[in-house]
Amino acid sequence: MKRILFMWFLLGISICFAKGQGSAPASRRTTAISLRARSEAGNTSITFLTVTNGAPVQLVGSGQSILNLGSLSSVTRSDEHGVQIQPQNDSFVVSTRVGLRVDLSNSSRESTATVSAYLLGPAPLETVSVDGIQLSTRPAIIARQVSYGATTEHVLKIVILASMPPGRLIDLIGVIATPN
Amino acid sequence: MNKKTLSMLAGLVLMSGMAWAQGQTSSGTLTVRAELASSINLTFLTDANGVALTGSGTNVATLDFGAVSQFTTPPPKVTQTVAATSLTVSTPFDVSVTKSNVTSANYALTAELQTTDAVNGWTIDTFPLTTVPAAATSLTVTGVYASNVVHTLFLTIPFSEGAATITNSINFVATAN
Repeated sequence: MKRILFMWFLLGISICFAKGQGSAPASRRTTAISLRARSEAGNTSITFLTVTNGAPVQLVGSGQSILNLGSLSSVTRSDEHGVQIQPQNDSFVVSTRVGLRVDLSNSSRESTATVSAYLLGPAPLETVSVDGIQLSTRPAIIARQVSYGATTEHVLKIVILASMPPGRLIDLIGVIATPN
Repeated sequence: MNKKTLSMLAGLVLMSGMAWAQGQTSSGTLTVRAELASSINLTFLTDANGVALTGSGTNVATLDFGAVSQFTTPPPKVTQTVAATSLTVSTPFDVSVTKSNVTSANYALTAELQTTDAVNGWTIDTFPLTTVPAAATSLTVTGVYASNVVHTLFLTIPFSEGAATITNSINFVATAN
């Protein structure tokens, strides 16, 4: 009996583990059950897009894009290349808009996804937020009912401290779409 | 198989079913790039003891002494000094220079008249102002950031000058040291 129970346990663990692997290549497939499940669910993908009044987004790979904010300083800028700057006492706020689309290869059924965002690395002299949600290295939900195939616009704001030294600024924002 | 074993088994089957039903997540990465540039910002402010500046808090302000003459009391917050052949009116105003994303300990400040005035004398603090295209007058080379530094504008008017409106523009330049 214990052996049967252990085998069931292993099966459960393997299915859960396979789920957490994301879109593993064929050579890494481990269980037939989880593969069938993915096939039926379809493959999801995330695309970042340039929107009106937003900074240009450059696609560099599947789900990988670069948002170029250009040269930034604390001087007020109403709207230049889709970037607005608002000076504050000891900092300034950079804001722009960016488009996001979550696609599902098997889109026969209407469904939605929850989108979360996080920083891939700490940014001690900046505050990065999307739609008012301040990002950290832990994912935070920025949208709960995102329809597959629809482009949603999001406001990206970065508060830069005046004490931050000049030079190149790079922030990596990770985005996760989870089917509802 | 007892009840406990059955419930555990059911739990495991349920767990695997949930994993199957949730489908897969997808992820993407947005790299945000920018070039952070240094900047300093100069603003004029009304001084507590000076006349009110129009445009106080901005970098374009107007200072109006009002109507002055040798034999009348000067307007509020205007100091008037009468000499043998001229009168001088003066009032303080503040200049604030802030810095952002720059490694600079202090700043230099210059001022310069934009239109030649061969009749009246224009002075800030103790420094007579030059006129474009001459080199600007240095007011300080060790200005303190983010503080309201008081400067005083003096306008000297000779008695020989007829009644008229006196106007000019003074261009201030702050440079990070």
